[in-house]
Amino acid sequence: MKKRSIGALAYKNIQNNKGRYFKQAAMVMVLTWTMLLGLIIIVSISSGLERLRDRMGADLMLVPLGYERSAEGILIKGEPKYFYFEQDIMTQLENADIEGIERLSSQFYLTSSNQGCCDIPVQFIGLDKDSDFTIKPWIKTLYVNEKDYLNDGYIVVGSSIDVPEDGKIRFYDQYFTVAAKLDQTGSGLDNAVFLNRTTTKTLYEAALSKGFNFMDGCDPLKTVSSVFITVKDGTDVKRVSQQIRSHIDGVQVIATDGMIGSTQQGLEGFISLMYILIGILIVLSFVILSLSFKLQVTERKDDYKLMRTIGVTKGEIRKLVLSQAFILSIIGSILGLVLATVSIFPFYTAINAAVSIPFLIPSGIKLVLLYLVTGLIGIIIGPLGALGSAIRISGGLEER
Amino acid sequence: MKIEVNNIYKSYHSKHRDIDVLKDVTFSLEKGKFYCLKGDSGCGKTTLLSILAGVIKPDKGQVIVDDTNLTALSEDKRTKLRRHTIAYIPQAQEVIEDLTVEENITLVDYFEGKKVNQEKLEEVVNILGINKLRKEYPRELSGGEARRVIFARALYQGASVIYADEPTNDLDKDNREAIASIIKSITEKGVTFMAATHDEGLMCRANKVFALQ
Repeated sequence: MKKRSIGALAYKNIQNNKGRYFKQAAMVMVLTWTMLLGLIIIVSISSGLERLRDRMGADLMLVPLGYERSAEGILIKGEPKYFYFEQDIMTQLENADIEGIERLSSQFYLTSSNQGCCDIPVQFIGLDKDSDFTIKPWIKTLYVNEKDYLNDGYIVVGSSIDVPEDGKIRFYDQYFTVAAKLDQTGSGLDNAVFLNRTTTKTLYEAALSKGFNFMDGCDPLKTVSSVFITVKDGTDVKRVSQQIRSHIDGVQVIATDGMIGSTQQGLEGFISLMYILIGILIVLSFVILSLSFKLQVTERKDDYKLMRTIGVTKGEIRKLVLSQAFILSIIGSILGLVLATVSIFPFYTAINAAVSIPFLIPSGIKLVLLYLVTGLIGIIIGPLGALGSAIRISGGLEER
Repeated sequence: MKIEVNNIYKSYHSKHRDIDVLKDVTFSLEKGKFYCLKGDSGCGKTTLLSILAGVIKPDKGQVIVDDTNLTALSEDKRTKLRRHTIAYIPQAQEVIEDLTVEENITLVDYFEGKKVNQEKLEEVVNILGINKLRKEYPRELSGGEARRVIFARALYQGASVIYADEPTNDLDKDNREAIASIIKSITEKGVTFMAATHDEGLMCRANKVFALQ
């Protein structure tokens, strides 16, 4: 027979009267469930923005005048768009000979169709393999040799795109081989397909043959949708931006930090609100639990008095009450964490598709920490709420 | 075990008056004897038992239990004495509804971190005649059966002296008789028993009856 203990008695009390103790466990469950969900959402939004900032790799992005919103739509919201410079922007930049520019890389945008000729709706981004610096650092899975990933006929896909078993995806009734898959950003780039200029031309012509004409007189080998620029270390990005504007007409110069920054600013209010709500929930839970434990302990006043009569000390009564609260908190916390897990992870793809902001669910240490912090708060709040009642009731028999 | 009660005084102070409940109470108790304490309602029987059990302290006087001055001990030490040496059964004390009879009897083991002493438990439930009720919950017991469980707990804890306030209160004649027999058999095992009571049938079985005025 096992040794008995105060913990065992606490557990037995709960076991033998689940109805009485269910409320407290449920309160802790709701708290941890909501708190973990909220924190994951907050961290996912912050992580998504941070990852996008890193992934952009560029200090400046040039798009045709008036197309800033469209560019934001592609990068941040994952809305497939296409637009083109009417002029030969790359030659103009070369001729302007602007000081401080370290690297330049152009991109060409197309979109897939929701007619039957394309397997999935995506954003196509055609780029020059030699000058591109935006995708190579982010390759997660390589299906071909590293040097071949942007060869003719190959595509590189964002993390949200499923790669079929045969490794080929159909667009405009043309099949393209998936050469690599990129790491997750939680942004619109996760739904993008990257290809070299020659492959882009093949795709463009395939689209034309299906009746999709993106731009009259467009040459996918030369036409440009956007230009990504990195500046040299120590160079003032604003100065470079001003110089570009003064030398070239019809161009919108976007500081990538600013694009992400404005999105971030817009979300800061939402994030602050989430933190406030979580804080309110914690306080409310504490108050409700305190009241609930007070009622429950008062209900069992006679039992505690009996225990004092048979030789149980005040400290042991307190231990018993707190042990009960601790066990209930553990049960509630575990249930809450499980519920939060099944609420968000199986639906991540749907959530990501539904929200128009970068959303990158944390992983690894960050996620473990979130679970630990939430679990710990859930486990502590019960005994904290019961502490007052435990101290009060342990008086028991009056010393007169 | 010898218990000496010397010159006990106890008053209660309220807003409007002071009540002298006990004044210079002195007596002694011997091992294995059955004592009754009688007196009118409000004469101080419960107060005296509470002092003897170490639940409250007197204003003046001593209670010596085998050379230990109970009244000089700290509250925790007096509480711990009630765990094994002294058993106190207040009036209308019930059992814990959420625990079985067996768990009620062995309740103190939870707080001492011990295994159940099966031998002692067997002995105690047989003396009290509640062996068949061990796995029952208190809601399934009659008044008399519940009273036996309370006595069983006191014996299981190894009490050398049991103070009971109105132990046959609210019981029918048969149960009162049964409790009286149980008390007798307990004292025959060397346990000292003192009952505050109005039950004449119980009083006439006692070795001595103290009257509080």
